[in-house]
Amino acid sequence: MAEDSLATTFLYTLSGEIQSGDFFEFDSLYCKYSFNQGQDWTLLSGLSEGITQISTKSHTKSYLSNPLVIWNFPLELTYSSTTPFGWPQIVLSVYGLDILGRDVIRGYGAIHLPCQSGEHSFSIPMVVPKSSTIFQEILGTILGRRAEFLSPAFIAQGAGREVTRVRSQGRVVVKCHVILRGFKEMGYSYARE
Amino acid sequence: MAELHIIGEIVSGVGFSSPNLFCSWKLSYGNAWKELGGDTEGQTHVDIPSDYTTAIFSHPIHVHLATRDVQGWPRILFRVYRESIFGQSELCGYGVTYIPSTPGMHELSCHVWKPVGTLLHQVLEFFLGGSPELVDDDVILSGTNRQRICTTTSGKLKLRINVITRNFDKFNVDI
Repeated sequence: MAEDSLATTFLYTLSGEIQSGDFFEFDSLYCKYSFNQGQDWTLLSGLSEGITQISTKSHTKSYLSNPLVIWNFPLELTYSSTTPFGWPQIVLSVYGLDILGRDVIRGYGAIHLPCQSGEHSFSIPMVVPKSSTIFQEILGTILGRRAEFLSPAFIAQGAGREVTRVRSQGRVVVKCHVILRGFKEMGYSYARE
Repeated sequence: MAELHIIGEIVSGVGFSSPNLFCSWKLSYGNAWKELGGDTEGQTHVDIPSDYTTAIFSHPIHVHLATRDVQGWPRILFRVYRESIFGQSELCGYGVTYIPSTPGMHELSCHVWKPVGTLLHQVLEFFLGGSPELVDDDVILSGTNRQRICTTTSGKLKLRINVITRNFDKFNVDI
């Protein structure tokens, strides 16, 4: 019985960190993360969403050439699933503070979590939606209400993208280690033997 | 039936003359293949990049296919458009790339080309915009009927594709 259940589900464990953000124009940033996955995926342990500290760039000489916002925020989660369909995506949204201390969106980004076990490092490009008219853009800048997506998960989906205009700015680096269990036993191969 | 999962992203477009790009994509495959889940076509957002060079799409591709035959291995047809300052969409080019047949993670780059018209067309294109387009997808997807077309290079798309296969070895398919 136990063997049967092993053969129909596999476990996906990810441990890593949201390491840093590379935003040339902006400082004082924090990052929200969540995951977007299919119906067959269940989160067994770990936090499905979180929010980092507000981090500012270092202004010491050694970092001046390419100042990064460091978060060093831990990620740890385990999924169980019956199929690779609906493979989880990490969805990041970076907010920053403007001169008046209001929260302003600085970037949305999403990427599929690595499908191979082992160590991975990826840099996720970030985009912000643009207002549909210049008037709204100016008004939004003054009032501190920029165009935002209704849900950050929008950036992880393909539907409805053709009507959005975005501006790409900055990157976020995520590093992680992935362990897969019971995947090969189900007949799947994810790397050349 | 053997199964194939294609999980990944259209990451970016580089080297194009104008950075305000969007791209539509369509997965095409042989008759023996069947789609079990996911979208097989889509269109990205328009990116107006802050660095004026690389258009970021980060558009998810997530498809689950089943097959009885390895012939007609899936491939993706891309059409890249740029948005002019007047809001018109103009063709930037076509590109087609096969999904890698080995399981694992792949960083792909797909070169993009577009047809060029006569000198008169090029002059009109320079002043008025608009560019010649191909009527039939078959010209892009198959090797026939390409011999009389003049084309020019326009840029490169970058993709990150994870391929997961299932049960191909049961049918003695070595991938």
